[in-house]
Amino acid sequence: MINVLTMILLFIALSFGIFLIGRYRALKICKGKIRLLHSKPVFHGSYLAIISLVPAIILSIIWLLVSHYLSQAYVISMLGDSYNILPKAEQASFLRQAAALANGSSFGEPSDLLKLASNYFSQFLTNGNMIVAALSAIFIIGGFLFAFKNITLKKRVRQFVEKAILALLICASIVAIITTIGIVLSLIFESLRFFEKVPFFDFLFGTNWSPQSAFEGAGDQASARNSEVFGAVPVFAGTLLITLIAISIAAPIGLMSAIYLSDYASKNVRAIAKPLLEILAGIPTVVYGFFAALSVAPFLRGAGENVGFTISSESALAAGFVMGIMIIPFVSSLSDDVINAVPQSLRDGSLALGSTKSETIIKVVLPAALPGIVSALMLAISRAIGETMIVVMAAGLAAKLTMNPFEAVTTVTVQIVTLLVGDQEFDSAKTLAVFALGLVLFCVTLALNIIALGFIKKYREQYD
Amino acid sequence: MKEDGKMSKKIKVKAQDVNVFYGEKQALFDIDLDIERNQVTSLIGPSGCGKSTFLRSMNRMNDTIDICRFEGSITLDGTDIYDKNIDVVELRARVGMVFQKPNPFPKSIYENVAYGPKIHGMVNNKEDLDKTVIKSLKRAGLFNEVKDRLDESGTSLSGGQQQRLCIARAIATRPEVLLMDEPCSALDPIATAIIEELIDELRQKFTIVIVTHSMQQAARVSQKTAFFHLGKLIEEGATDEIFTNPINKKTQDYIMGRIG
Repeated sequence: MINVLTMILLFIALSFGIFLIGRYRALKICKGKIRLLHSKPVFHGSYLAIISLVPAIILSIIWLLVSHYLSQAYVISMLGDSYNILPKAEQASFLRQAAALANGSSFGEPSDLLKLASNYFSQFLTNGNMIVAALSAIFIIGGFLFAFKNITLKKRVRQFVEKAILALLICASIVAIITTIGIVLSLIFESLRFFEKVPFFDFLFGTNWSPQSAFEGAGDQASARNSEVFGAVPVFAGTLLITLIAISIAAPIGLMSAIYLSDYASKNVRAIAKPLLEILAGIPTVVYGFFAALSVAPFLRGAGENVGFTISSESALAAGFVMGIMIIPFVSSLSDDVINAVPQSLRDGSLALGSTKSETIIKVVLPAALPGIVSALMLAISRAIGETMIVVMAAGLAAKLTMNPFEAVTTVTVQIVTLLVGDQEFDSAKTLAVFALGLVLFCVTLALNIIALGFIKKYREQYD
Repeated sequence: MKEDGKMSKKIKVKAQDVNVFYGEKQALFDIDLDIERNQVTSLIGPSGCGKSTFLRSMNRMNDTIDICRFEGSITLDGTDIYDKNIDVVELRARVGMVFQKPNPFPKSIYENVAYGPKIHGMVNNKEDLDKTVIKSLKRAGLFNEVKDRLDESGTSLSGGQQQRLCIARAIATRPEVLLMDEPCSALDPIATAIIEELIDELRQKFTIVIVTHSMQQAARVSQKTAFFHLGKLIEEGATDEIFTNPINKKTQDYIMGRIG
């Protein structure tokens, strides 16, 4: 890792140096009269740096990415049979140990075979590094000489540099997009593996969720398993219930405080109240979580007892209530922005017709701001669906199919956490269920976003 | 005495010693102006001279600006509109306003015009409302152009049509006075001509005060003209008089195009 860091620093230092040389050269050629140059000296400097360094940088990145696999293949081919006779399960850990040994970490007394393998490793990596370094040096020097010759009064390097910047921007977007696609694909493929073990419809429409009691047969009964413990309906019902409670608290409170802040509050009140409200968004969710579990839940239970309701100590109500408070700033802050964006001329028009302030807001301002308000609500709902910490602490673990907010329910996110905490085998149905849950959750939020976007498109009004 | 009574009957709005301040800055100085019933009064003057401020004082739209302060009195049919007992909502129903930039609500054409009658409870059933909307649109000279698309958004109309929609919206509440703040400044000459004709017709029913930057427009549509300069009322009188025979040097200069 130290090597990578020095390499990055070296490249940065080199690019600065070469840039300065190019700029200096351009200045010298035009004898200080920049007007004579087609492209300004900075472009010449950048041009020189790009031509010299980019090929070497690309080579180094490729080497970093593939050297691990190449070295493994090399070691395996060199060891030959003495590697192949190792049990399959040990091969991977053997290679890992050898690589670690080659990196200088030691543990116990390594076997001779391990020593040999680690020697091959370091041999391959050292030689490889040398070759890559030599090639890079050739690229840098060759590129530098080639580009340096091109620094003339007439050379049009400006266009080249602009194109290089475009390429850089495209690369950045591609990285972001590929990451997204990668996550979605891994969700889909792992889910497919899960659906090989548990039928799709058993998962989506089953009403019994108790994955801890899942078993998979061994030996003769390798195909035996109880798939009917993976019915996801109660889990999604729990998420739905808690989200509903949260949004029915956050929507009215958030919207009304947004209206107050944008249309009623004086400048001074607004300057203080708006940041205060946004602080709510900055509180870590884990704090909300123990607030829900330790303060709100006991309070609700006590209050329920007084009026004759039985509220369990971990209830959907407590979790939903606290989650609602957590997402208030999403609703209020975004709604406040869109309500403010409604032109004053519309308010004036309504007031001049003799309507009161509240009539103006209800009949003119809110309809005009509706698309923005809907997207604020959708964002808040997505937050609520994906929220984990509060429900882990306050909602409960048992998957019970109920719509009674006084009982404990569990949510998708809670189940994902419970399934992944502790030691796991990575190909058991229990672990793979996580991917299926994640996939369905992803589809739900995606659908919500698409609906919201469609709604906004349909009702967007042109006012200006 | 008889003469006086006749005069006060003719006068719809009477402003006395009006001073308006925006924070520290004084925008209007001791304005005295009478607006006559069923006449078009135009307020002219260079930008920033306070004519719009004066217009907005007449339906108390300046109340919406926090730092704005009013002194003096403006009476509507003899009642002080800045009196504590005056309900500003009721006042604005009696004194309608059309703005410089057309500002139709993002609702259907029908709903735009029906807005005022609905909130003031002026109609009891759908037929009455339909009648009011159609009558207002006809009076604003817009009905024939939009009669087949009353459900379409008001914002889909052209600029001139939007402004006529705003006029229809304003007269649907049956105001007594109609204030117009440069209603044609964003419109092309054809749309302007249509609206000017409209103003002349509306005079039969309403008392109209119009702020305009166009001297020709003032001469064409108004019977009375008041010239403002730097927050002061310099000269007022019959439009013919002001344009052919101004008394004050500043008025002369402005009309000749030497200031402003």
